[in-house]
Amino acid sequence: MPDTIAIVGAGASGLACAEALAGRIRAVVVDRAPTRAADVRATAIRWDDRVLLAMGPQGSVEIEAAALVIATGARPLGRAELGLAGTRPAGVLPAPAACDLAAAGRFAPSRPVVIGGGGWAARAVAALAGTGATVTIVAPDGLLLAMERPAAVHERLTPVAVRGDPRVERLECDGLTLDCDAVVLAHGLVPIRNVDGAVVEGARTVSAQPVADPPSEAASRTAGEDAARTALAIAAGEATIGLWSSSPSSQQSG
Amino acid sequence: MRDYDVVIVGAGVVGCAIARRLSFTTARVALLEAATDVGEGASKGNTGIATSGADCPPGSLEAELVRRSSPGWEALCASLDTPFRRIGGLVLARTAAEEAALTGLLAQARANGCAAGIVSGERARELEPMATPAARAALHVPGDGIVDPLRLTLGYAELADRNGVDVRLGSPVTGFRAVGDRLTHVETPHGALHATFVVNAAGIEADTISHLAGGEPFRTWPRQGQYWLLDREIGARFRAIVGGVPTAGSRGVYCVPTTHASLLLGPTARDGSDRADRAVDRESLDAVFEAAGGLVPGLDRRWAIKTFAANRPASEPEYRIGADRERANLVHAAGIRSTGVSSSPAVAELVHEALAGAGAPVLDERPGAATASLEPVPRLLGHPDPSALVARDPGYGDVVCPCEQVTAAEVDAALRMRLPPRSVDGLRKRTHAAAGRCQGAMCLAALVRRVEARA
Repeated sequence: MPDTIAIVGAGASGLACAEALAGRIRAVVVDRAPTRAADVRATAIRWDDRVLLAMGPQGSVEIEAAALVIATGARPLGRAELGLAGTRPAGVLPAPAACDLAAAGRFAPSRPVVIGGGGWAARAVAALAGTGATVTIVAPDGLLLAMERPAAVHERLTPVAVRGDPRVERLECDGLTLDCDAVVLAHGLVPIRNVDGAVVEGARTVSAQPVADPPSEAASRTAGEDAARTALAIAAGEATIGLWSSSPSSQQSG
Repeated sequence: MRDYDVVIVGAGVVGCAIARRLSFTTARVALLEAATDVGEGASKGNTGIATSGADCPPGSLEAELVRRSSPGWEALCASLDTPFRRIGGLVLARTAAEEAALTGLLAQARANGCAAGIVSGERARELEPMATPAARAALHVPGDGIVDPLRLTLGYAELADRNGVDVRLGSPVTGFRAVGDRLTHVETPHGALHATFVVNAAGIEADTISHLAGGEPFRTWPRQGQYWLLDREIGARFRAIVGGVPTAGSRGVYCVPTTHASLLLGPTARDGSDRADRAVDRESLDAVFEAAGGLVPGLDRRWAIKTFAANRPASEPEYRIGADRERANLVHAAGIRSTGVSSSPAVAELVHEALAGAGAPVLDERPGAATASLEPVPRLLGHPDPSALVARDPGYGDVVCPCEQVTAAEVDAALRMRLPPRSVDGLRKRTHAAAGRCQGAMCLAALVRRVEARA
């Protein structure tokens, strides 16, 4: 059994995991973004229970590991995950892309609706406020963080369908229709899992992806430290678990 | 104004297939498309099944053209750098009545010249372990395949363009000029084209084109289909296309593994009147999921990455292919309902024959015509030797879309196509970037920058 734990993601969870493993077993942190905190700059793509395959500027990298820790964070729900019906017009963007494009001056709607009330919604509202947009918030559940002043806030309103073609014109909600020229999807959080062989289940894989909204450094660190304990147990042959078989908070074994 | 021997109206899978076929001849050909990209209608919203024709109406032109097209898929798709796999299809019978109906379906398949056989439920689950334990028996159709319909349409168009066909996107036909019983010009907002022959491959707008041309009347209308796309985490487990025994009026819902290893569920079939209506509704989507769940137990909505709708061209009559009865130099390739992908190679041959029969100069072979589109671009997703890819092109080390594992090398190759993408959606059609589980959350901004840098 190789004396290595592979960690995908050099964010707070991944680095906390690596720290917790320090001195006990070798940890290799892989991240696709150029960050000095990662040991390998590459995109992890496949895991076969023994070897992690990643693609980077230097070529393909194979890391033999006793266990794989997925610490790639979380993203908001997409259209299908939100159950949004209607058309597929331009101007409906996932929050991470909307924030990036707004910051780059490539997304400047005048009347956007942001679906969500959590961390990604706050970031989207801040990004759009900089463009002079009149932002409306639709917060489907009880979560509504303090954020830069949106023009209107609709709490506990469920979005149902997107309308417009070729560009978005309306967001239909349960009992209310909102005119808009963009919709930003910022509600909910799901773990980002893109390593084939470790997406929903896989041997020797551990998730360190808290989905607390808003994200907290403390929750991330705890998830990373929990994952480190589980990964060590797997490396010692005391456990073999799949991602989906346990929640991050109960991943202690051995 | 330029002169063309043949002007093809409509750059869907059928129009593009015809353009490719005519590009092997010395004819001067233009391909007109109203949208700003090829394959924007029914060609981009379908199951991606290349059927071998088991369920076509026996004796129909559709059955004949699907039968003629089926054996050639491997060679054709290899020449067009289009993913294709002949994985076979299963029609599951779950009740005694459905089991009894299999005999009729087998006879229908045989009448269509399509290899098929009835297998036990146990054998069906060997062929497709995902199939429901409730299956008592199944019709197995080994010749059915799956194809990437967007790459197919693009491949046809790329090759046609390479061989000199004038591909004009964003060029809706606004009218025709005629002298006597012959059309002379095709009018667009960018000017008129002199046309010796015109091919109507306008899909759902084929009736409009025939009307504008003063051709024979026929009727086309949208038959809307709604679909779910599920993650390859479930799709990669499938080995075959799974469907149910068709009911009167509809072939029903299929579970179709795609060439990108994801899984399509659908379609619904609802005749409508609004040709632009591509909206999904919850009732229809629920019905699709429920029907699919009856074929494959344990499908879970947490695997859903996309829902969408598209309109296939229903028509009266169906499969209207051949010379118009009013206009001597108008040839229709219309009413190709839901089998446009599956019959497109033979439809193109038949249109070529019809043009030749009408006197079009399409019989001389173009010397040195290319038979393959551009150099194949390998895909990282599922590639057996990723390190060899990076050695070939360092761009393979830069994974732009992590969900579908699309690399900078693949994106750059798409941006260098003869018919390059003009939007992120066009890039998605060519590479599958942003088509995966996060639907662009992580890669959309980078893709926008790459497309704009090229534009």
